[in-house]
Amino acid sequence: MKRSIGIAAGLFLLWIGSLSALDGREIMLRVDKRPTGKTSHALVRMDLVDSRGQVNTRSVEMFSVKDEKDLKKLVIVFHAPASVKNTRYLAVENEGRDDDKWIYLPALKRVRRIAASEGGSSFMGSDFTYDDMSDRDVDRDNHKFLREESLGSYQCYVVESVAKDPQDSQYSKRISWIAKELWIPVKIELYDKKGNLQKIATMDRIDTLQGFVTPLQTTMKNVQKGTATVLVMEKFVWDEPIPSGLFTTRYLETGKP
Amino acid sequence: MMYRKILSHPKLVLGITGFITLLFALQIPKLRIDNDPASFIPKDHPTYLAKERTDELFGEDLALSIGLRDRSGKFFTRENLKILIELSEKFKDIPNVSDVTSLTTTDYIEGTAEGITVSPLLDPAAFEGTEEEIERLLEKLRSWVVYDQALVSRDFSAVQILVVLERKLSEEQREQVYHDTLRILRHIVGDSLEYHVAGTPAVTVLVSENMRSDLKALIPLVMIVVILTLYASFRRWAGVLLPMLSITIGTIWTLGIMALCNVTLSMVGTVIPVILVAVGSAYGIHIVHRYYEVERKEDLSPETILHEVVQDVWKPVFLAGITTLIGFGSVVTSRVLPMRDFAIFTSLGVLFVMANALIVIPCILQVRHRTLPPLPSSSGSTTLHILEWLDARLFHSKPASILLFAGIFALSLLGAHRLIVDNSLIEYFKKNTEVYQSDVFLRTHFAGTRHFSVVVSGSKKGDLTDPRVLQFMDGLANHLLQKHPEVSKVLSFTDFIKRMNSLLQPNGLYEIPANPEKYGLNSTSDLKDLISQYLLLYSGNLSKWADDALEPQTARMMVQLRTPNNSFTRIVVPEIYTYAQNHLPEGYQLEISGIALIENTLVDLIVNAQVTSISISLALVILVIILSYRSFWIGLIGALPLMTSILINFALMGFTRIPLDISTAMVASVTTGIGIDYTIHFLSSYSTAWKTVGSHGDARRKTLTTVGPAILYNAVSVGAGFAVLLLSQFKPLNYFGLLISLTMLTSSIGALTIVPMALEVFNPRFKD
Repeated sequence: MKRSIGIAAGLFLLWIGSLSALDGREIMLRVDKRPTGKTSHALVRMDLVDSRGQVNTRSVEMFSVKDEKDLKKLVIVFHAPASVKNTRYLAVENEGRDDDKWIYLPALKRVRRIAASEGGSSFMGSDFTYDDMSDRDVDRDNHKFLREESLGSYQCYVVESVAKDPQDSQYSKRISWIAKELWIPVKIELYDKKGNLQKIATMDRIDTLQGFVTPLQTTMKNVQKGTATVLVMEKFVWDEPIPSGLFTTRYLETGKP
Repeated sequence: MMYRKILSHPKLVLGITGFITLLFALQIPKLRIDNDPASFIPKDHPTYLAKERTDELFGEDLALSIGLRDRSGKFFTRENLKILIELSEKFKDIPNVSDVTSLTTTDYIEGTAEGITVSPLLDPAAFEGTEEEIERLLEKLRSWVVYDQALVSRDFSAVQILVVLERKLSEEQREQVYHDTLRILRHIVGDSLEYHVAGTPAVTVLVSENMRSDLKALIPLVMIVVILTLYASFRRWAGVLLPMLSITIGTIWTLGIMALCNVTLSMVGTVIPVILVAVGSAYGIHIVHRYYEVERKEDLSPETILHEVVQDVWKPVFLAGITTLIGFGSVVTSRVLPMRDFAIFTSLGVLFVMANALIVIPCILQVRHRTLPPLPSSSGSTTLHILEWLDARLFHSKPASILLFAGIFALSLLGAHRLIVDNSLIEYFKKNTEVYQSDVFLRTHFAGTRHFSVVVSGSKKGDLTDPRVLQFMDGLANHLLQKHPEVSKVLSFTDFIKRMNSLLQPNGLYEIPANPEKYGLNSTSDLKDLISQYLLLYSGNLSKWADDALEPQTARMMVQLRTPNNSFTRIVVPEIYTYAQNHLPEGYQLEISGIALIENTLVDLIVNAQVTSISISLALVILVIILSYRSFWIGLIGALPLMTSILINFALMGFTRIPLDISTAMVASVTTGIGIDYTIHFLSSYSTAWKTVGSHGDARRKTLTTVGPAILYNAVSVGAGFAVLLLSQFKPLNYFGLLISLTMLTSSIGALTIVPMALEVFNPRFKD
């Protein structure tokens, strides 16, 4: 008799628990829908720290704009090192097909179109891949809410995300710590295809700029290689009026919008 | 006296010995095996450090090479490519595999009217297997020389997959990867395809596995051989069991201590137990033999018999043990780690076996004393006849026999001059083994499994985008390919730059952009920028070839070799340095590193060790004889049979092309250590005879008839013990067994012929 009361109580608690649990997908949707500006303009410094602790600095300027369909256009202008200065890159997101990408190499003096699935490859030799730096559609993954946990000064939801199609991601899973109220990840663990922890991203500095929550410094640490890349927003502006001519191949070639 | 005190408490001594033996025996299962050439050379050796630096920068390139060939000669069919896709996927999931290189994981970059397209050579997700797809794939493979003999064989009958291992794996982890790979291959590959697995990890794993089965088979065999010879000598089980017991205890202690000291067992280490059994029996025989003699002679109490035996025997046993120890121990000067360990632990083992013979055997004889039936008469009569015949012939005409020895000497010098030195892991295996065949397959269809890196560094960031140094690297690659058929392929950082140049430039040239005008630029500095911008397009995927994604200071080329042996590296490495001296631009440095070089260094260290250890062991052995007889000349004469044996050994190796390697390099020292016993035995008997009869001729005849058969008998039984190694699966151990058997014969015959002859010619005095 006593035992069956115990079981009933347990089941009841489980039921209560399932009621209050937040759905993993809901959390990630809220992160995705976090309000931001229509355009952004950033001056980004990247410090590449190798396994011996030596630092290599790169810097780029990034412009981005989102249209009504939430499709993104991105321009990256390389500033340093000097050997790649004024190299310009344009990526245009398309609905239902691969992004269009162009690059202008100043020493070649021509714009070339790049057709590549380079998502999994490194961005300028850093610990970030192209995919790490771009947004990922929430419904490409299955999300599972794991637990609530405090991390530093943040109260977080911990969510595990696994690609619905394993071929669709360079990682086997990602575990994100999402700060409550801010709806922004403060830490992400990235696991390689074999299920081993490969990289850890931490948002070291998060600020509210022009009313939008904005990460201003992110560190990506590759725990397998012992390298790290620190990405610092030296300047960040939301909703700066950016001429639409900037997101064209003509701009890549001339440097004038 | 301490020794007598010990013997007066036999039960206590036996109890303690049993306990210690049990403790050590429990350690033995912890003994690790390691046959990686990289762990054979000292960690502070420049070649080792160079390899570490290169691995640190570019990642280790230790990989299993898997060749897949269609028996019909045409690999590129839908079914085969599907198999390749499945294999590549499965290999990726093996634990401790860092990377898989195959058609499915390699990018193909091609030029289009508007720019460039990067896609996998063979996209696993999209591959349907239509004729057009396959034709397109073949077209891609033909379009860039980099793929040739790396991913696909020249005749397109076979493809290669590289399974790259994580760095710093233990031998067990490597074995796991190897077996997982084989399991997947067996599971997926059908009958129409043949597969071959080779590469350094496969070879080291197989060396270790064969070593284990060798140990399991050879130790019992050598024991049987020694038991048979012991039984033939004593015709009594006590005479067999007691020496065997001292050997077994000594061997257990040695292996137990090796396990406790975390010393890994290499292929050479397999020999340790075999040597202890073959060599160690002599000490026990000596004691048991004397015991039976004394016991038969008089009706004495066990204590008195033992007392007398011990009195008579401890000195010769001790002397024999010490000289053997010197011989084996002299190898300790080697900087080759398995050889050094071999020296330390065989010496220790000899010491243990000797101590156990001197302590445990008398204790047991005391505890289990029984009056034994008389010893059957010695069966030495045939041997005696041979010796008498030899004596009559040899000493009949002195000039003729001196001429004979001079002839042997000259011939030996000639043969020794032809000695080759090599220590290639794959050459440990016999030609009919699967792994050897796989290596041959990968050497003939692909660029082979052996390679080394040439690393070029500048003094600051971006120096390796300078067209001048890139042209140097290209020049060096062409030079090597044109001059040496042994160089199968050179893969280089520059290949990727040339590819980008041909795809992006309107002129489409597959070259290093070196002339600014031709490329519409003003200066070399602009060309450097151009090359940096090419590198940007590789988005950091060249980390195996350059140390920075945009402005490399160090870059690498990989020279692949078709030859299995080290002799070629010895020619090509100095040549590369000379080429660099003449062509490398100012401000740059060049370093050569890799597993092929480590094997090469191993060869150098083996040769150095050889010279030092022979000198040391001979010098010490001469010293021991000089001290025992207080005569310089007798010391030198005593060393003559050894020197002759060693010379004949090298001559045989020279004539039959047996290479001097990690195991055959120890033959000389082992010969010295064991062979000196025959001379000592002969000299001690000769000096007694000489003092009583006064003439060399009579002393010689008397000695030959008394100890002659014993010496030959001992040599034959030790030789037979070592001959068991002929059954080993490793060629070096076969050679080692063969050569030691030979030197046992030559050094014992030498002791019986050269020594008396030299004593007659030089006539030194035996002091009292």
